[in-house]
Amino acid sequence: MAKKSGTKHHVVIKLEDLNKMFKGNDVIPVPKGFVKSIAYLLSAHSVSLDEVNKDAGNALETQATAETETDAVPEAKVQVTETNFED
Amino acid sequence: MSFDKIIGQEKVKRKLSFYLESQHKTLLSPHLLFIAPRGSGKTLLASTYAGQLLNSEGKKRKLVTINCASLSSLRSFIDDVVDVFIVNKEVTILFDEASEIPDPIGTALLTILNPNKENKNIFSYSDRSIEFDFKKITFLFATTEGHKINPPLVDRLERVDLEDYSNDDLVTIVQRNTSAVISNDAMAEIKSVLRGNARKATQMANNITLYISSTKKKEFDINDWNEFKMKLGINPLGLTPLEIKILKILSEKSLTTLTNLSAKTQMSRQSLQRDVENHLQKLNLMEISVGGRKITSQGRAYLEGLK
Repeated sequence: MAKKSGTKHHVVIKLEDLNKMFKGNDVIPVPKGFVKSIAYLLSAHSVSLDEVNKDAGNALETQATAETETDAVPEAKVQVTETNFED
Repeated sequence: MSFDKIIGQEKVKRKLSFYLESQHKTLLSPHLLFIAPRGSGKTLLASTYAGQLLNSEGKKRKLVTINCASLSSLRSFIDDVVDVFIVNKEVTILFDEASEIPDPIGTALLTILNPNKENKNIFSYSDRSIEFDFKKITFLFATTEGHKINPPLVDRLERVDLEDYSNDDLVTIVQRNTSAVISNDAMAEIKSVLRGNARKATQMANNITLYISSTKKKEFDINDWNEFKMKLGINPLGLTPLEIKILKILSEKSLTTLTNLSAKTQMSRQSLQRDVENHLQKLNLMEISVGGRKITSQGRAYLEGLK
């Protein structure tokens, strides 16, 4: 478990701990309530969250689709018999 | 209209002939629900009817029979059945074992089969509209368990309840299905074990054919019957070993509960009621009273006869 410390309202996680879990291209879903705070912090570094979000959104979508495709069990075909009645 | 190959069921055949005559003039047939016990010929009757329905060119329509146990979702019904066999086609669809139709498909059928003057319905699915024109499509349903079908769906269908087969019908079925010349006394024994079931009669005829081909004879007399029933383990009245076991359990006590029977036979209560008790009651070998099940005097006589 990553080492944590913080205040009454915040939990602080060391980046070096998170780096053990994630690589550079990984995406992390962030609750929308935190987006404004993160966008503000990122703007100080000239990074727009809109662009990050677009890429990340696509990546998440792809990931979710891939998972669905893996998990989905192919549906069994309906058993049907055709009869032609000749005149 | 021809149902010559089907023995018995005279009332049903007259009713179906009436619908066929009408279909040949108007291209419209009611959607039919065939209800009868197993082995009574529901599917045979339904497919014989379907085989005489005509398309707009006056030719016989194709029949598509669906095993309803294999229907899993409305999507698979639309993709595998409607799109492939119904859209822009003239066809008859037979839902066999219709009590197994899943609820979403049953609900869709309520919309599809909703009666109206135009004899057409548009069914909306996803972003599509699918037309069902009943001059081109007829739905038939066959089941042993009519009570399991959604009542509003039953209301949209014309019920066809099959009659019981008489012993004479069963004799005719046996004779038609074997080349053996069966003596009268052998036939009297044979019809006593057919349990009023047309499929059993056909199976019996096939077995007799196998027997005479092995003995290289054409005749099948009472001596052949005695040897035949020994070989195949046929019990009097055609009872199964399980039914005889139930009678023996019942003979041990004056009253036995269904739970007790279930424990002793390792069968579910439902299965006992559906597969065993009905036939034993029909033959008056057992009866059900308030306190439980009991063997009748006829049932005791049957067991005595086995000794």
